[in-house]
Amino acid sequence: MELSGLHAFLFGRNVMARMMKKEMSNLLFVLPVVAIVALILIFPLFYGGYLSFFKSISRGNARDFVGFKNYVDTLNNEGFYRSLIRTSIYTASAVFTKIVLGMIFALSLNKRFRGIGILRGIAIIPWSIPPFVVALIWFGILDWAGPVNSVLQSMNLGTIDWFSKSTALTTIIMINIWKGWPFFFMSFVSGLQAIPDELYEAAEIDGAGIWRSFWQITLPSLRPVLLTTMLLSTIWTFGEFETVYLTTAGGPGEATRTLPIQIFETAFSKFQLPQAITQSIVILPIFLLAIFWVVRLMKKSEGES
Amino acid sequence: MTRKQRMRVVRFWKIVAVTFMLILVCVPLYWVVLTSLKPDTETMGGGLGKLYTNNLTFENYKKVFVYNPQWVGYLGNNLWPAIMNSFFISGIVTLIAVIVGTFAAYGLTKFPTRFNSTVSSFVLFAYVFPAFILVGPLSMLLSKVGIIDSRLGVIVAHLLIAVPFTTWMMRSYFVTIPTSLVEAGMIDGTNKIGALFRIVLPLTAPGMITAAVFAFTRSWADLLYSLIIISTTSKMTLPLAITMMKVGDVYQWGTLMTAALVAAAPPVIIYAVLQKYVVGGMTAGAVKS
Repeated sequence: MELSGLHAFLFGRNVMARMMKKEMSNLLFVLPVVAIVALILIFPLFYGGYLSFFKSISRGNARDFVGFKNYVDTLNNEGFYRSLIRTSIYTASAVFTKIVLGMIFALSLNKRFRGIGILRGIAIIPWSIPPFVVALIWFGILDWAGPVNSVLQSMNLGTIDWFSKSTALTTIIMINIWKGWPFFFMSFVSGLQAIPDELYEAAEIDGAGIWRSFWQITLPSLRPVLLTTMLLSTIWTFGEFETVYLTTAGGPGEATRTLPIQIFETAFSKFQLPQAITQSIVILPIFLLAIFWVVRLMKKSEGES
Repeated sequence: MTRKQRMRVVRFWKIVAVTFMLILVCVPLYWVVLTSLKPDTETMGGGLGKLYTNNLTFENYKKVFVYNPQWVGYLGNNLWPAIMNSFFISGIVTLIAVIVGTFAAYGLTKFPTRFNSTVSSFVLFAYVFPAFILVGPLSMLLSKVGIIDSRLGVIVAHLLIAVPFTTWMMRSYFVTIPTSLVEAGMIDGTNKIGALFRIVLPLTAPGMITAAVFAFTRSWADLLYSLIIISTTSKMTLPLAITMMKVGDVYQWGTLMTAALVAAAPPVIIYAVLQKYVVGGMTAGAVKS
């Protein structure tokens, strides 16, 4: 842009006008996508910010300006903090386990052999099933009369209530893991293919065992992939709605009430839209940090534009 | 341990891991398919957990596709209207997403402006952004505009799931096409649009198919947006209609699992067939090295 600026300075406004015109015509290509994101994402977010200063919505209009009251209420709401902590536990344990499983299975299906395509195809099935279907399937499997309890019973181990106050959070974490590990699997499989075999051969000549090769070659080589997928998965797992909604709907009590569920309930069951929006705005900064970070990483790995 | 022994140990553990993975994935799926083929007398009568049956039947499929007396009055006769709604919505969304995404990716990769980097970030931001933060204000806006409880409303919301993703994905295919190729075409007298259709698209057809697949399945799988937008039975998407089946304390497991399978079938089949493209596409941007 420096050069064109210089040109404009030397040859007058005519050239600059022409450059602007050319740039404008180039911008036409991206105009639709920018318009869609602006209208359906950015504008609603700001509109939400506006609504968060009102007491209620009635007949499609915001009623009773209350200033920062909703924010004060949210920050004084112990249930909100409990939800936040619960969602963090859910997210951290699910993402960690998904990474470990994805890594183990990717390493196991790394070498080429007959039938690898079929095995990899099977591996991505859980990820290709819509989340709400995954929730329903596991809701049936873990039902008190479902197959898991039948098997336990036939081994005289008694039955487990998978959706009780003490077990439900672990259960929804497991469901999330079942669906989510192939995401890491696929990323790791393509990441592993980029590591040259010579590296391992050299390490072996140096006398490095399997573990040392893993920690010193595999893991460092996968680092960029790992960081990006981990961030993406963290953002999406935190925001996961369907699995919880269709199994426990946040219960029993508030045992599995994650933030997405809490916000959804506040908005659409209690009909306190401004309060629900306020809650999402309060946690927005955390998300924005994570999103900006991952956007930078993804652009970097694409070689920028 | 010698090298050979070590390799044997590794091989053993790899086989253990793969076997575990197969059980983890296949047993639940086997159970769902089996449940869809069991009669109600079994699934509702304590036989839900049995891993075999002597009474294979297609009665659940008949109920889902033809007529289910239990749904009359609140879901309709069968799931066809919901299936058609979902196909309609996801089809339109896919069409728009592929067109918009293609043009945007073309502009971003071949015609530099000083805003391109910002636009890329903007698109990625929208792709990563979690839906649940948006549902409150979006539902309010859609009702202000007058398209709440309409298929158009769902299409509009789904554009956000599909368009940024197809843009980013098409972009990762378009960067592989040398700009000089486009420039050469334009010297030969075709304009920007002509170069796109005659030079770039023929080379990026697999990318376009993959983008379409993702746009379709992401829209097809969504429950959250339809849940907040649709309330009339005749306009329900398939995920929403199936969610409505799970009411009360006694579940019709047979029809529920059959419907779940019907909803899972299109994406699972498409991904299985196009696995080669999908794995590359899914990791677009995240993994490209």
